[in-house]
Amino acid sequence: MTKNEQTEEKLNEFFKTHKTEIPDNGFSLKVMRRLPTEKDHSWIVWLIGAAGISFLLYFYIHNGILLNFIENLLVMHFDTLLISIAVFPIVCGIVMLLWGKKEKTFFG
Amino acid sequence: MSRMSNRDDLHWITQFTLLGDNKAFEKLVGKYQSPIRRFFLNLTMGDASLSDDLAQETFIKAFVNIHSFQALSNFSTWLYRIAYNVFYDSMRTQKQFSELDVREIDLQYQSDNAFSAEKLDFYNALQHLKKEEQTVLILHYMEDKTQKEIAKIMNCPEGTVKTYLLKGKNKLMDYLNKEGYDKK
Repeated sequence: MTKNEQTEEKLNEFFKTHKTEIPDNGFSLKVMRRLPTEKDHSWIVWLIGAAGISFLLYFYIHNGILLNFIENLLVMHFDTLLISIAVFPIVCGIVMLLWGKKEKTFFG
Repeated sequence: MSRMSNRDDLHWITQFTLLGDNKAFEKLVGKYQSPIRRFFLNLTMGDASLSDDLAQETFIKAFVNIHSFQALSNFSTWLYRIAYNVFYDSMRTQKQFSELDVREIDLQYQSDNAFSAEKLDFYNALQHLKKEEQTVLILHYMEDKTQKEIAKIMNCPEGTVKTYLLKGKNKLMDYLNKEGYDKK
């Protein structure tokens, strides 16, 4: 047996003899009780969204814009219609991507 | 065995993050409470109360940040990394932290806790090493971590871990030979 192997064996023995299993004794329960309760604030986003849509609908109906839009829908160019429909998901996608990058921490 | 264990961890993490099942997180706490508390117990030279506080902080940080766990490493390595950061953050907040103070504090801890002579021998031996050397040796010999995993935990190059390991081993062997450990 080389000197290096002897050292390894000795150190392994030294640490293993002092390795003890610590009984839980209510530790896990204590941790679970101390965990922060995550508050869900997503309702604020939904509330603002619903209020915004309601306001726009009222505004469009009151000023006849919605009716005008429906009438023009039939004569509208297909590409204009596609762009107007695609703008919202594109903007939302970019916002979510930026939000996701901000959320990443050094723990990963 | 280790692969199975990691698969269990991933299963519980998925259950917790996707279904919000707190019992799955409790299983992770139950599985890792002993190694994490032992890790702190050895680094604090046997201060059970401080170790438990640090271990609680570690699990709370894991709970809050679990969405950032990307499974690039084992959950165990990720958890030890949090524990390592928690320990060194707590050390940094202690003002006027010098080697002399550490020894005084350690002696106080030792007198406060009922230790066996064997445990005292173990902590006395560790006290001859720098904190980084203690950390590397404990992780390697007691917690069975590879040098690559230790480098991830300590967020340093593998070469640095090798250096700490070599220096720590030499110092510890010198101490053990001087104390006649092999004759005991």
